[in-house]
Amino acid sequence: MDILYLLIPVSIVIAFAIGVLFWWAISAGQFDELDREGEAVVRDDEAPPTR
Amino acid sequence: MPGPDTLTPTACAHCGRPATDPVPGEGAAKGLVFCCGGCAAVHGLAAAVSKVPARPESVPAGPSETVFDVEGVTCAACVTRVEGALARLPGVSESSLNLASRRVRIRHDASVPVETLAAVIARAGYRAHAPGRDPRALRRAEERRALWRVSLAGFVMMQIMMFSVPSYMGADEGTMSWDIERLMDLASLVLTVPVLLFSSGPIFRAAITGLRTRQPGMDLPVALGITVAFLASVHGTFSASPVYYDSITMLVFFILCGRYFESKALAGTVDAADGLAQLLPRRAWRLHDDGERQETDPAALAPGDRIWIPAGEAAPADALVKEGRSEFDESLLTGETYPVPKSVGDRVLAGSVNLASPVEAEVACAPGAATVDLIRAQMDRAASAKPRWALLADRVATHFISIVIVLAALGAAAWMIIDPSRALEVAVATLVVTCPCALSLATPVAITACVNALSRAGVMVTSGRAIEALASATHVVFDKTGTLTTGRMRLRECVPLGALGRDECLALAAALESALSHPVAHALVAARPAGIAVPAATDLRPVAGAGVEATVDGRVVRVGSPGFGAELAGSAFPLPIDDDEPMAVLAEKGAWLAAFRFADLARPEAPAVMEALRRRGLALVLLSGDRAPVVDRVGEALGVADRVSGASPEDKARHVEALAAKGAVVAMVGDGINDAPVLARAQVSLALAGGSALAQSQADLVVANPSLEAVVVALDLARRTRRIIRQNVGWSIAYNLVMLPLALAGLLTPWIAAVGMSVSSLIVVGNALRLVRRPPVAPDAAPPLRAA
Repeated sequence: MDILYLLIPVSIVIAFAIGVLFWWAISAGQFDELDREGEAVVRDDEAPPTR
Repeated sequence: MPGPDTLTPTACAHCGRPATDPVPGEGAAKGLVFCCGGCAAVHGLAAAVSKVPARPESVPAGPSETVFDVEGVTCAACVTRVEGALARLPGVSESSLNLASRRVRIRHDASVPVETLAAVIARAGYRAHAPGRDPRALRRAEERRALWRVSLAGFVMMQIMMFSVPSYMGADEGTMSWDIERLMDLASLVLTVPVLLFSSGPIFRAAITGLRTRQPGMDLPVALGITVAFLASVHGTFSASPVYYDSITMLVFFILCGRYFESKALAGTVDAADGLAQLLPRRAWRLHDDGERQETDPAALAPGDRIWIPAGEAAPADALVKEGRSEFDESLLTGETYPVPKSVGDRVLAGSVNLASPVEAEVACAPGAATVDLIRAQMDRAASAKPRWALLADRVATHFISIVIVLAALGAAAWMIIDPSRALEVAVATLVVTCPCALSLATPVAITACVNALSRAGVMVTSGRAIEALASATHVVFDKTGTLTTGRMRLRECVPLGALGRDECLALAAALESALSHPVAHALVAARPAGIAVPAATDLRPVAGAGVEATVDGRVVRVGSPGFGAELAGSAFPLPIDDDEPMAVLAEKGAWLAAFRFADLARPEAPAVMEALRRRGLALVLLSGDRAPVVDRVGEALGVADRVSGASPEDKARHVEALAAKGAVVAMVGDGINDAPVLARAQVSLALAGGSALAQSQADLVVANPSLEAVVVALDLARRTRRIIRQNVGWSIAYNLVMLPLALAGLLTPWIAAVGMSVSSLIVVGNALRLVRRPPVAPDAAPPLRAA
């Protein structure tokens, strides 16, 4: 059971690391438009700009 | 056509023909008379258009109006707080903050600087931003932060639950060593701190602001619950008594979750109004004198600039077409589903899309003053108006919170006697479970949803209170026949009198009249039969006030008044002459050919709409300034028994007041421009106005797409809105009445309480959003409504 003295602090460190990772993902805008990538499949290519 | 100043008193003020049987119309007081009802109607319309003020009087000269986007508003208590702080500022006459759009509209004396207003809002604990051109950036930042708060709380909640599993499994009874148990609790504590500091930051901030301004919001009980539970847990961590970290994080997670989805849903309805702003293109093409096109920012366009609008692009500003001819899609602005043809001299609306070919146009308005901007401003104003229901709910919600805190304290005290180990849990559950939020959200969300749903159906709401009145309307009063009818002469009947058939007569008449601009001429040209070639007319000779003579295929033919035709036909007109409706005759040398009768016919959708309104239990009244026979004909065709004809504007106003005095709730339908005084007397007014007249109307609801169907749509939506508000308020009251005793009885754990509260708010918001999701119901008969 002594391993718990190591594993619990490690789990906290990992939890914080995941939290930071998630913060980065959100602030990079990955969750802003969740529908976009799904729609991209059926959307036409960008229309060529009109003059 | 002679101008009014060259007229003799007996000449028609519109077409100049002698008015043998004068018809009163718009301007009768000034001594103007008309030869026929058609002229009177057309003159009235023209006068109305020239009378319209260049800018709507939405911004009075002395007092001024300021709009802010307010950051940090989460519930109705925040609304009361911001409004209260502003109201205490001398010089501020009115302020209203919309919870859904988080936009505050302040009416204040021009001497109060805008900075002071912003400072007052800041002192109340919120941040005020000038509403930027792109409010989305602000909202996106807020949305990201909210998502991060929710996910942090959720993630930590799961982690803490893992640490708590041993205690769930009954490890408290000594199977776990003392130091391992402390380690688990300590780990939970370390993880809970960021949730408290960051995720529940807004809850604490709002609670503190509430305390400072002595207007506690729904956050105060929640913050209190969290604090008490956390302090007890910290104590427990070091003294081997129970800890509640799992409850705290779960509670924060569920509350934030509820708020996150709520704000997502609300953002959807606000987007409908902001969507209008998104119609405007990002670039414009300025035309230089040498014909060169230069790309510019639409905001840099000034009135008088020449612009080029290529096919497929939206007009950057309201502009007058100077060259070219095309069709524009105005559906998002006016609800008109068909492309609107535009040629030289026509006004294109900013945001409408050019569908066919490039046009050159001259900018006709300053940036920010385009029709689309005015529509948006009106939508904002309507959505931020508070009906009586909402004001009451706000007041109740504020008192409710103090009661809840007292109840929680009493509950905890009682449980200290019954079972001290559960006292804390009961207190926290009681604090969290009550949801005054749902109570105060119930109305504003529904009103905002209704305003947006109506705008999609082409009805602009200029006053949020109108929805309340419309829902309870008992009488629909149609002002003037022009509202029920098209306002244009149309051929009602063609009686052949001679050798030629009906179609030939019509073709002949159309040949003579095609070059003229009298209403009767338009009606005859419009009525020419399909499939028969209109013969060519030569030697066209119009005779003022009588008719027109021309040579067709070698025959001399006349169209005009019976007297004018008799000169050529050589005999008296064979049919009785009915003075009540305009008519024209067709004659050739020595013979009568045909008689035409005209009428201002009812709009094609009118019978179905009348029937639909009757079926909804509304009494219909027709008030008109027209003469009795005309009014009776329209009224009978539509089955409206209650008719008042020959009424002056004062008579109409008196009639509406008399109805109201008898307890009726009157919804008045008019054209909204020259009948404004009458519309103002009714509890709720609807104006049928198209195009640029939209923003100038002072009616409560403006039907952008002049179709009577919109009256039924608006009525149905208003009634549904009322029903939904009642459901929401009913739900909130029932929820709180049931859950509060349950929590006090110790039947709810804190996390169930948090779920209950979040779900309750979501139910209220979701219920209101049904108004937007389901398209407005069409009147019972064809033609089908324009898609919403």
